[in-house]
Amino acid sequence: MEVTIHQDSIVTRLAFKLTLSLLFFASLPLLAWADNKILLITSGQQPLYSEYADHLKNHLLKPPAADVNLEVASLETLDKKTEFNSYNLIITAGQEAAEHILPLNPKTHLLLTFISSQEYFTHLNEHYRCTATTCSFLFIDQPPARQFRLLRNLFPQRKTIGMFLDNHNNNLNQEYQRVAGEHGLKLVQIPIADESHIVDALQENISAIQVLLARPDPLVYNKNTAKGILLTTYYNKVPLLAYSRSFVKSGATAGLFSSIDDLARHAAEIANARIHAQRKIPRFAYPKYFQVEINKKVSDSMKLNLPTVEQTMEALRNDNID
Amino acid sequence: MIISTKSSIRFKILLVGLLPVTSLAILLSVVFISQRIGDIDEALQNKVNYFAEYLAETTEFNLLVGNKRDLEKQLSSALHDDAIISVKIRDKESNLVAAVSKKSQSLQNDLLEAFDSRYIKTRVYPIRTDQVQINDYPPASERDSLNDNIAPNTVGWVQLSWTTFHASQQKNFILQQTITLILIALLLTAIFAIFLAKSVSSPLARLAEGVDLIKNGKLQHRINENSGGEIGVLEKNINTMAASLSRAQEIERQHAANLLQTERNKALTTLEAIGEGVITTDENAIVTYINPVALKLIGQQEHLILGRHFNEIFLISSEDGHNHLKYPIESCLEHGHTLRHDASLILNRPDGQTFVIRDTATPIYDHLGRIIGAVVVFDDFSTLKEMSEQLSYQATHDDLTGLYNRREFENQLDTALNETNRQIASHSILYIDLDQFKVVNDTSGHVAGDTLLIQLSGLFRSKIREHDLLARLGGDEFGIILRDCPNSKASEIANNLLVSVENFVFHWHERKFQIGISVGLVHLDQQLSTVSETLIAADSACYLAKERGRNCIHVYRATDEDQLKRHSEMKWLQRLKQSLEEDRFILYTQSITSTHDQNDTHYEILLRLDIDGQIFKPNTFLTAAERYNLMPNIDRWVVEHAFETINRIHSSHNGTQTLPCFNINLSGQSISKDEFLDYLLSQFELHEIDPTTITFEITETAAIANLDRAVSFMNSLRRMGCKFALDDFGSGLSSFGYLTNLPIDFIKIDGKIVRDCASNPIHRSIIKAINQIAHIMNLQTIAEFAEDQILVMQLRELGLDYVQGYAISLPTPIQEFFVSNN
Repeated sequence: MEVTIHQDSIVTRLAFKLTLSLLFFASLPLLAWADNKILLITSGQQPLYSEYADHLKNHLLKPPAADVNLEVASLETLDKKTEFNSYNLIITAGQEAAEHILPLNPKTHLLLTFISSQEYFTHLNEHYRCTATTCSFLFIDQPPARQFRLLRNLFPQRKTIGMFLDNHNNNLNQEYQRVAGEHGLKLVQIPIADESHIVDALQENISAIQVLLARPDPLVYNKNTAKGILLTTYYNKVPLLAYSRSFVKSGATAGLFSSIDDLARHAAEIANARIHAQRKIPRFAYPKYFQVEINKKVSDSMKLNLPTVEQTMEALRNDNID
Repeated sequence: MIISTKSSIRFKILLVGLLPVTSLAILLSVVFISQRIGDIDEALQNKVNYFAEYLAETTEFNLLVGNKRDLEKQLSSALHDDAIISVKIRDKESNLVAAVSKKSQSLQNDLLEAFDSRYIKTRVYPIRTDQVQINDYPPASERDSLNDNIAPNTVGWVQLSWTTFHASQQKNFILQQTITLILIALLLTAIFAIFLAKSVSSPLARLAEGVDLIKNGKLQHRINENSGGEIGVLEKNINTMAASLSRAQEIERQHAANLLQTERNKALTTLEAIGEGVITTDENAIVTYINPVALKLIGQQEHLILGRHFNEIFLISSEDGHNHLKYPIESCLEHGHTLRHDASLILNRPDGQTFVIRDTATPIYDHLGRIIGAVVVFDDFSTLKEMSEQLSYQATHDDLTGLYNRREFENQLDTALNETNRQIASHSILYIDLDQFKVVNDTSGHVAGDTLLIQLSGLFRSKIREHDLLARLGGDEFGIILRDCPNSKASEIANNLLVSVENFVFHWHERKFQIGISVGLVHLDQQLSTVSETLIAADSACYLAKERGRNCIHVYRATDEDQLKRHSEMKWLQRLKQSLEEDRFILYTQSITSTHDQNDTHYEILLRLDIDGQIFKPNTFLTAAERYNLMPNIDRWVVEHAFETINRIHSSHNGTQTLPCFNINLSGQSISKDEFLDYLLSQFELHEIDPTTITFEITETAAIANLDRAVSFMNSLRRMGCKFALDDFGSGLSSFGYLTNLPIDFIKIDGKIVRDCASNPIHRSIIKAINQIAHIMNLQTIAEFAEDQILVMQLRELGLDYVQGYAISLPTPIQEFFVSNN
């Protein structure tokens, strides 16, 4: 399903408001008897978030945890007088919602979802004092180990992996270098200059790498640079492992990502664990559930003999990523 | 208009053949050339666009990566096309990145022109790179600007230059080729059209020429039958038609000749058979034909006449035969006048015989209206004229005496009166009546009478002047118009006639008769304006002369009392005759009422005459009516109309009332005629009149004039139930003796002695005596003229039975009476 939230039309907004209203009224009966109140605050009113709210609710209400009352609000509809302490758990979706709620420092536990690991490590973790007892993060991107395992599974013969890494983020760079080494792969760092020279930088290093591993970084991978990156890798027959389904559809060789349902399911599990089991939840977590997709047309054009998606998924499921 | 009805067939065929083809060729060539040129331009443009798009797409990567060498290699591929001259790649800041071009020196000389600036065109096409979506969960900032950034980015430019030289060469070639082909096609078409037009028009021209000759009478001309198809059929048919026409012309000519001969024979036969003489001449009046009747009348041989001038053989003179005339045939020939003379010319034959002729000369015209001769038709009118003159004579003359008759006398008198009225002459007339002519006729027969009349006519003729007019007016009456005759001379002539007749003794078979005449002399003057008035005047003068003892002369004078009376009677005679014819009489009625019984009323029917609204009583006209024996006619009129009215009155009573009695006056002239009684009886029967309701009044004079006949008449009617009253009794020489002889029922005492009986004791005594005698004789008495009530009372006291007069009732038109009784 194509995302249509970009079309910020009145109809869309009205639909979202209507959906939230319905959810609110639908949850009223639960309020009468339920003790577990969860507030979901979304960064916007796009269909993405309403879909996420729907999936989250479905997963939360699955037996036996059927006594959860989920309230949904966007940043636009959130009442300023909301008593956050009356909720058992507050879940945010998106960076904007997280940046809105963190400064408020509520006493209720926060589960911040739809946050990239890079954002957490370079920004949120440093700016907001948030302990593991008051908040936890569910990343949107995949853990490095899963990515390298997938690379090794898909391209077992290709050991040199290229990757755009910011020189200023040494922790992350080191983490990737470490994990690549753990998987017997050599990681070639492609330095990030500015947007207009991304392709040039790739062109300069393309001959030195066998696979380009992409991780979410708006500075590197955006709609302006994507075409040049894709063409460069394609003409040089360097497979590109992307981080989203959209990227795969745009021309990447394969992709590793989590769907909305995957993320909602994982968030529901964390919420249930927090509410019902009163268990301590980790400070951050990569998505537990994920998807692999291969662009058959591109791989065929590049004459790559790749395993099927099912085979790949089967191999990856055996890994313990947590 | 290019094509007119006068254009030749060849021109029309050429036009029909060439015009559509030429138009179509021009149209098609224009469409074809424009389409081909458009195709060339479009192909060139498409090719350029294709190269531009291809290069824009294929050079995107090398442009992004700045691979100049590969770019130039890609661009060089475009130069293989003849049209492309150079290709340049510029980055988005328009900096030249790569460029390739053809070197003009390497081209052949004839293609150097392709680099002429006129043919060089350059266009710049953008090299774009599409934006692609790579994030499933894009950050909010990216999400919000997604729409704006979806448009592709321009990363550089392809600058493409090409030459249109080859395309222009192609266009010129196509243009030249097409025009050449069209011209060749048109030329071939024109040649074919000319050949076709000639093949059609030449036979038609021959046909037209042949038909023209045939039309102009050359029916022997034939058209060469060397064409095929419809033209050939036409040629053959025209030749056949010409042959048919030739034959038909010959037949027609023969037929016309026969017809002409037949008509000529008919005309000649007719001319020779008709009773009129016919002579025809040419335009110079030379005789060309004469028929037998004309020959006979001219009295010459035909060969002596033909070829001579008309006036040499047609010798005429005036009606009196003295003046020789020249027949005006020149007028007919030169001016076209039709001449006609009805019996005014005499035709003289050489042998001296003459004929009165009627002739007509008519010009003869040819088909162009020119006079080519004349035909003179004449006939012998001598016999007819003689007969006509005889008839005319008989119409104006008396057969017996040869004198003018009454009609001619009246005509001549009318002329004389006109002359008198215009005071240009003084005439007199004599009206002569023989006194003893009846004696001659009765004793010696009509032959003697006729002889007497002839002899007297001769005698009268000898005693009047030459220019006087003597006529026999009828029977023994003669009239003489003494023209231009003073009164004294007229009296002298009248006396001479009187004396001559006195001295004349008529001898007939040894018997001698002395004859006398009564002469009325009238000097015509302006007081006598009409013939009838004049004749009445003359007749009355003659009548008075006869009354004065016969054999004398009475001169008419307008102031003469006797003459006036006679004249008045004569005038009344005419009025009465006219009134009877025009039914101008009307009936009145006046009641006669009993002095004893108011309901016993009789009604006397009175007669009136209505002339132009003026009502005349009987005393005005009865004298004239009796004198001229008109009373029986008037009585018949009265009886018929009275009975008709009485019948209607009786019918209206429908038997419910007592029928009124009516008194009707009868004249002595009527009751003395046997046929009148028959007439009365028929009227009773016709109108179903009850005789007992009718009382006839007759005068004592009328009754005693022919007493026996009157008594017989009265008895006949009294036997039917009718009653009789003796009218006007006591006024004249009334005799009581007649009362015993006449079968009467009433005595009507004359009003003259009734009117003044109150003041005149004698009249009263007479009335009393008459009344007493009447009553002794069982007669009832009626008193007339009872004009007032005192008189009525006295009459009642005197014992009269009935009274009549204004005191009782005024005379009323019977139509009003009829209305009041209904």
